[in-house]
Amino acid sequence: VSSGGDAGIAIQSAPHFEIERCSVHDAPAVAAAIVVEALYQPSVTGFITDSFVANVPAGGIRIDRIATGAVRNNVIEGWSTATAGPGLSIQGATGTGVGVLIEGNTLRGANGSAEGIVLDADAHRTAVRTNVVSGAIQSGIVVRSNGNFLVGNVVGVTGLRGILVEGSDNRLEANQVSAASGNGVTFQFGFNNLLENNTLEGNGGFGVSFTGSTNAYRGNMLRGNGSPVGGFATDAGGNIQ
Amino acid sequence: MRRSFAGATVAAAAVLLPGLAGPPARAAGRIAVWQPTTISQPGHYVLTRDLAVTDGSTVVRIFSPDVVLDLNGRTITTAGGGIAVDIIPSTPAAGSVEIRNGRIRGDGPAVRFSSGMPVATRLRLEDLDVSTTSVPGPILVSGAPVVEILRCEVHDSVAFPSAIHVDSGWLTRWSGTIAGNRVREAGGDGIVVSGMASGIVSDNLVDMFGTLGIDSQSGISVSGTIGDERAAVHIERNVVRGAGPPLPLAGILLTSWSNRTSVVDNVVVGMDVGISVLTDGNSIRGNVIGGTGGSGINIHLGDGNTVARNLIESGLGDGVRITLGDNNLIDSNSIEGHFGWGISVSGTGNAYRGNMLRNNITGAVTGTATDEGGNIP
Repeated sequence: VSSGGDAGIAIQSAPHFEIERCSVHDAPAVAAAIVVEALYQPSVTGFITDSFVANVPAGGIRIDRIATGAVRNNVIEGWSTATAGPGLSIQGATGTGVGVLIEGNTLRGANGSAEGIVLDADAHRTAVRTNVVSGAIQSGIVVRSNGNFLVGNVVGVTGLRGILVEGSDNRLEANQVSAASGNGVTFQFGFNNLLENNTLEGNGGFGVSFTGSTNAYRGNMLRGNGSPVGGFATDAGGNIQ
Repeated sequence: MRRSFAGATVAAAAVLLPGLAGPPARAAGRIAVWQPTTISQPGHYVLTRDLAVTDGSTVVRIFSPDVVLDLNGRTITTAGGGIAVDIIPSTPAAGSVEIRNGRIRGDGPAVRFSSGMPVATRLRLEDLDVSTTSVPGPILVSGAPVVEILRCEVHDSVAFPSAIHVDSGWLTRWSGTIAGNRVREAGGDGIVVSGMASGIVSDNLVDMFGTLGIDSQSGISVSGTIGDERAAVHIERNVVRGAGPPLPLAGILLTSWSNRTSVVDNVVVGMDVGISVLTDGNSIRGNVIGGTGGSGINIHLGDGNTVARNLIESGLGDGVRITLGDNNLIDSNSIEGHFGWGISVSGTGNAYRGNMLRNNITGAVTGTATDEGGNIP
């Protein structure tokens, strides 16, 4: 697909969707390259896998009110070249029965790409695994929901933070965050988050910064940053500073 | 169903079967199927038009091994409870049957594999789109030694008791792969594997199972073979969400003789218990579990299990609950946001360490277990 008004591929009100092996590139889509909207449905479920998005003016992939599904093995390169928008964003359905898998995606910013992966409101209990995010001019991964598991991601060369967490009860484990202009990881306003066994190295600000309460960290490699730790959280041991 | 070759095959069929009349013809290694058929010879069969029956009869019967049935993007529709594709191996000799690439609709089983004796016929189902209201279920496999069910979609069905059911039948065990399937809106269980000696259940989406409201259902249910201590099963990267209310019983259920199963990196939400373990020596790692009506992980009468590095969040019961299980280890999990305890233990020799246990309303830990340190209460 190399055309588009609001989106290169737009799906609205379908309760279930599957987008596989599609390519959306150089498309003048003003909302996002691929958009899935629940609209008249309370929620949607489905997959976006093995697809390619490149050189689009706004966001890359956006899914609204997803209840469950997977976004796997997509490559997104050069999003929001004209208008700020995330490379890959999901908004969850309301209610407790939400669970999504975001795995194996590659996002490389170019020509002004904004945030990388965004877990927006109600995108609770999402597993974000083994993604690579590089070159976003804002934060690489942004979490605005609760109970998510970020593990094994590689994030770097971002204009702001590597990872920004604004929710609670999240777990960040074994992620590699480097060369962020700001903090490697920022916890902002959330509670009871755990940062464990990550390598946060070579970032311009703090390795990790906490502004919420009752968060904890342990076992992280925190050398080579502007400072290793900012703010207050429970140091549960094993951090290398 | 991912591929459709209907146009190309219709053109071929027009050459093979002018007017689509007369008996099935054979050319270029393909045998056209154009009406309800019994297949008793090995070969590569291709459906050349949609088929429908209304009298409850079976549409395609397969007695022979070494058969490929390509539905060619076509649709088989049944009414009156007939079976769309019924595989009944007539010989114990080794062979294989493969069904692929088509739609099945109606009120009977979509694919049934059964035999009256132990057989060595392998089964592969691939890229099928199934929506039937069948009892005892749309895909029912009993007694194939090797089973592969790949990229099939079973949806919008009140199917009961399960959408995909595989058991050992006349055999003592079977092996196989259940991967990349989508089960949506199933009346009963999602995927049931019984008697699986070795295999993988991975990358499946089981969404809204248990829609009939019978709360004993599971998204993925695994049971082994009685007396078989060597089972090796991997359950990985599945996404499971229950229907309700009432919430179904469990997202993933390890029941009789499913010992030493690896349950890794799954996302499980919206049922009574996220992962229910009734057996021994299992490894439960890296899963995301939440929105449960009861416990996130429940081990009952299970010994020597490891529960590690899971994120268990937001449940009305306990985060991890062990009842009458011994020597289990709860290690480095995030267990938060439960109305009950973070960890509740009864049994002997159990231990926990390194867990994040904040924001559980009743408290962090109850019961008797060894605190090996590093927990964050």
